[in-house]
Amino acid sequence: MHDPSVYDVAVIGGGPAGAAAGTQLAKSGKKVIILEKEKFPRFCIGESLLPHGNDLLRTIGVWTKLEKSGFLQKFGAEFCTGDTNRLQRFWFKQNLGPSHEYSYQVDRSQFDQLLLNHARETGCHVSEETRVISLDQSNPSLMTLSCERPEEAGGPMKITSRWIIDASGRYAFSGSRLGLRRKSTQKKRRVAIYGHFEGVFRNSGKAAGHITIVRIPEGWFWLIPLAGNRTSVGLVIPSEFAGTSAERGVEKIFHEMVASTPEVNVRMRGAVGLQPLRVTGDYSWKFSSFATPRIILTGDAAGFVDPIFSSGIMLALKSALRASELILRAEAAHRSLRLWERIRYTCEVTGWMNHYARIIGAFYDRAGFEVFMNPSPLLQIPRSIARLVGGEANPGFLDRMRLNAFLLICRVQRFWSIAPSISWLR
Amino acid sequence: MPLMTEVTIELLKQILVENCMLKIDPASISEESPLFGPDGIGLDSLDALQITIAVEKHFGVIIGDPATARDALQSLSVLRDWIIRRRALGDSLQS
Repeated sequence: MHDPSVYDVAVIGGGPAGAAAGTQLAKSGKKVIILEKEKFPRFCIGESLLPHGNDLLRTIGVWTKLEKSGFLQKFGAEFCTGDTNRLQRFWFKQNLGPSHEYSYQVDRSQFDQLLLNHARETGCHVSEETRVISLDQSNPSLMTLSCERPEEAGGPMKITSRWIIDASGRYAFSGSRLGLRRKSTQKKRRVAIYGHFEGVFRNSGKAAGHITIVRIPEGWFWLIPLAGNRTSVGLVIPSEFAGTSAERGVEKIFHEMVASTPEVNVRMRGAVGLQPLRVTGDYSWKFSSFATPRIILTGDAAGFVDPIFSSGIMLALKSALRASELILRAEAAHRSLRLWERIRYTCEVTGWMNHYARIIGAFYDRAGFEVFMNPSPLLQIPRSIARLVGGEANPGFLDRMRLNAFLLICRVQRFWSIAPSISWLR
Repeated sequence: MPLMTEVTIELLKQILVENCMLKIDPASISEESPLFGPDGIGLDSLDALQITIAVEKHFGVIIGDPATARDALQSLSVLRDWIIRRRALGDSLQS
């Protein structure tokens, strides 16, 4: 019973999902270990938070720390076309009310470190530079994880635990090992090419912290301002554009696309890249199920949603909190997860992802984007869309109806221009 | 090349006052106040045309199509950022 290597819960991955789940479980007195393959702080993208995510950060008790950390406040988002002719600037306050007026643009190396340290302070054991390589389920109620560690950190180790939370991100440790079916959620395969830059154009006033999304015929760019003078810039394009070229070819594609997109070109004039660009391929997908009786998949380890609406961290935190609730409830009754609990968890998280997926579909569709860029106050549709985009992932009946109305208008727009057409994208 | 006027919110507000029939106190207009629409400061399409012409003349940028004009005139801060970028773009086309 007192074997130090036996834990109640082993969390694979020390990103936001892993740190949040670990924090909640440790707060309730569980013995938790977080296994992180990197040494923090480490580079990561997905810097933009959503206002409804603030509530989740409050729940885990890290919000006040975040407020003091000097990150750039984000009051909204702006969407534009690459030719500089169209631009819509959205403010969270106008659509979500003063309680959700802002969130933050965070340097992920600092943000993730803050969350992981918070998990440590609440009592989690954290083992960095620890890569989980295999899972032994021969005893289903006491599973064993074999981990690799550098010699100076103690060398290989085995961890036994009664529960596993998979928060391994896009690495998706358990999904593949459990033989879960992996489905693509977008027809087109896309890749992202990205990096941090210095000296990118900043909006004036309170909009200085806005994320800027620039739509181009082939895909889109993100420009996320960070504290100091740094900006995260990324390009998302279909895989066939990027080809199988080496990193050098990727730099070339990125810079060519910047040069041929006036809106980005002018914003990046004089900007200096801070490191070689990185590439992430094979975009949106999810597993067919997110839970077994004693393993729960959270965040990106369950499925990856196209990042256009900055939903990643919110979905990670939301699923991690739900996963920790499920474990605590089952622990109290000394049992594993029931079938209906696993199905409900999978459906719930899939539901959150699907709300985004539907609006994302409209965004990639030329006609849908034209409607999106003309938020007429009809039926309060824009407000509903903004609520969804702002991170309200449990929309009420009216919001869902308005989303349906919006998607219907987008379909009509394909044949009959209700909103002004955007010739540059045609 | 003519000397570039700096694009400030004050200057844009002055253009607004000179070219529109404002129904409210200019001091109450913030950078982010929507200029048109239900939550706006009550400008109409004639005002939009007046401002467009004044901005084109003042800053040497062409606003062109009506959808662009509507987007650029969302608020004073959008207009400011938009003029700055358009002007920078104009420079590169000439050089």
